Amino acid sequence: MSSGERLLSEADGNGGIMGQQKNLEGYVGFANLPNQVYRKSVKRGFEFTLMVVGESGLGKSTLINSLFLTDLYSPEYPGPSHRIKKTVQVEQSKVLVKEGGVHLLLTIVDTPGFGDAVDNSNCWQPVIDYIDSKFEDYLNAESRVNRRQMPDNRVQCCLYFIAPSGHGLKPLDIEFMKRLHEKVNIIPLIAKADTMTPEECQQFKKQIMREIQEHKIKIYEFPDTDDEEEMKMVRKIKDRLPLAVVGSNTIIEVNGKRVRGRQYPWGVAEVENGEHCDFTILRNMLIRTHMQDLKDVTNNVHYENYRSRKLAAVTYNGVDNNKNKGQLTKPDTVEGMSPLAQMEEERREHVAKMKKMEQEMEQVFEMKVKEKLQKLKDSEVELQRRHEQMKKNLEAQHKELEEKRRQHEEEKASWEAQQRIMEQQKLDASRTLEKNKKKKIF
Amino acid sequence: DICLIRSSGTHSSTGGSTLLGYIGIDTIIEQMRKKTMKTGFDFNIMVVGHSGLGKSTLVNTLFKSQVSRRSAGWARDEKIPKTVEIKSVSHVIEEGGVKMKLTLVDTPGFGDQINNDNCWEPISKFINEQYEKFLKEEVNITRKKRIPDTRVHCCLYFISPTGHSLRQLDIEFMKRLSHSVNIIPIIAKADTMTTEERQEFKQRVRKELEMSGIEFYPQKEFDDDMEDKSDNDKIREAMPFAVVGSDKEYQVNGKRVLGRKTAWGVVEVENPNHCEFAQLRDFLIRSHLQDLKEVTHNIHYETYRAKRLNENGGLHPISSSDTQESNL
Repeated sequence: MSSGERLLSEADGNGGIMGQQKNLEGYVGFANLPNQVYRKSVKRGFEFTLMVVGESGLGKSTLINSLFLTDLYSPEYPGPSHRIKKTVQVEQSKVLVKEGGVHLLLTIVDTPGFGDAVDNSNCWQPVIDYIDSKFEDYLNAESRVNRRQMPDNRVQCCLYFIAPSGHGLKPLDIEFMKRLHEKVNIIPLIAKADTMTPEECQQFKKQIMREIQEHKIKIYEFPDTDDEEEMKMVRKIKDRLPLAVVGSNTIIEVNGKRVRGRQYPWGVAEVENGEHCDFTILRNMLIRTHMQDLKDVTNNVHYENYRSRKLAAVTYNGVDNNKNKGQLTKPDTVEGMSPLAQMEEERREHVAKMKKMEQEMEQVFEMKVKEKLQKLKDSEVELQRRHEQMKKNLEAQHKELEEKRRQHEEEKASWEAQQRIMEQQKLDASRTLEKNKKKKIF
Repeated sequence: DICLIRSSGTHSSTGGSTLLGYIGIDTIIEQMRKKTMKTGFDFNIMVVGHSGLGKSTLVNTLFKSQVSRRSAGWARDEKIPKTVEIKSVSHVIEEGGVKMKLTLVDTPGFGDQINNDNCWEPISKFINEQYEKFLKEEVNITRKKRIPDTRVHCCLYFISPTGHSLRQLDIEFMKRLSHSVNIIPIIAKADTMTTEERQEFKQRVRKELEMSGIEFYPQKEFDDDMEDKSDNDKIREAMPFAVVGSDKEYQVNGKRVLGRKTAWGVVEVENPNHCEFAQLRDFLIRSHLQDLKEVTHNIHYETYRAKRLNENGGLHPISSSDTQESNL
């Protein structure tokens, strides 16, 4: 009970709580507390956000599938050969994993296109922006009045994949890690570790660790514990940093056992064999022992850094959020903004938003009315035009008919004239005939 | 000189009169061979690829001796240079009485920076400089008996075994340089992939090369006759070769083989089931070495020469000792 004593003496320093361990005379039952906590958390479920960063073709998707024994990246998911990304994207996928009654909502954040272009300057910017935006969301959620729903999407761990060149870190690796080691827990991994022989792997790891120290990059550090057993394990892990991993979900038969591995013509590289790669160490560390610690470090260290930096910037300027307050709040108070101010701010924002929406809707309405008017005008013009055209057609037809009638009249006239002539001729003919007849008679 | 043998071989049956006795024309082959052995020949090979792909190891394995820079005292953890450098090392190796002056040109820093724009320019410049040197020597009034040939005969381009596809940088480089030098693409560190992955990757890479219009060696347009074409077709089908390099020997089934020893087996470099190193070596050294030099001399060099002589109205040698007027 040494920790108990320590706790009591600390309380003593804080305000004079009587610090003497009392011996309990019976069984009270608060030893059951951990179980209560456990049951509550199990009911609530756990969340974990994991980010994977690295160039294409390093086996990131395969490793995630192997770690969580799911098919998050199924074969139908377009692999890097199909994706034509011109810039680095940040994509997140959620999967709910259940085991032994415990729910884990796992969010995997992927960064396709990282390091693939010819010019990779600033390819880390989308990643930094994403992490900051998640911190900002959480900060806003925390400062709200109604805090019932606080979804935690902050990136708790970043697995950085190093290509197994066997030489050392690339300039891109160093740049990226330098910029992100203060924002997220970085765990560097050597990808496709079955490329290297054990000696090459050892040398490579040493080289990487040397370079990491040289550039003062702060990767995730395993916490020291008092427990001797755990310390031994932690030390073993520390010796093997960065972890060299191999991923696979295909099951192969080796010596009668069914193991996950990769089949080569010269042998089978087993994923879960400690002598072949460090996959089991990574999995145990990530899931079985240090998941909670990763979340704690993210919450207590990285998030707090972000928060204090953001709020210090705000209170220093005094311009940003506390416009109407006028007085600069003390930079070292934990609550930088009073909840009232926050509420005012929110209300004002809300009103402004409403006004804007109203304006926008009015604008849209006006625009629609204009459009409709325009359409009607257009159709009117169209109808008018058609009317004109039909009139013209009608007139043209009328004229045609007139023409025809005229022609017909002319024909009639000429025909009549002809008739008359013929009659005249006939008359003449009959007359002459009569004359002849008369003559003949004579 | 060797072309002579080829042409004499194909024309031997056209209109030849029957010989009444043994004259001895065929001893010319023997004479050529003796001469070549005495003079020896040059071969210049360039390796390009970003660091960590096993370029130095592969060249050592190809020529079964420590010819890469590594042997010359370059440490493994030397810093990556900030720009692409060109470093060349020469060795004279001998086999069966034939001497070869092998020059290895390495390009450290290629593709290693964050911004790799134009990292192919130093390489392109170097290749053209070698052509320029040769051209200047050719154009002299008093020419040396044997012009020292520093032109790059073959460029081995190392493709990273991502298993997915070619990277943007690979396509850019090969597009720009396939017309000035013979490029042979190789898939490096082939022991990263299983046999199926390797086949798929190769097919994808070949398709991408075709789509981008990259003509790698052996180029289709330079096939002389049907025999060449069928040979080269077979080779083109199998390219790019997926290779593994190693200069360490291990005991496997009672034999000593070159290989890499991992915890789950030994990758044998010369075993055709494990990787295609043997095929590459036969192709590069045992059958097409002379062809590489010829294509470089007859085609790539001539292209450069024609371009050079057509621009600016001719060649003006810079050195004052030459009073050669260009009437070319």
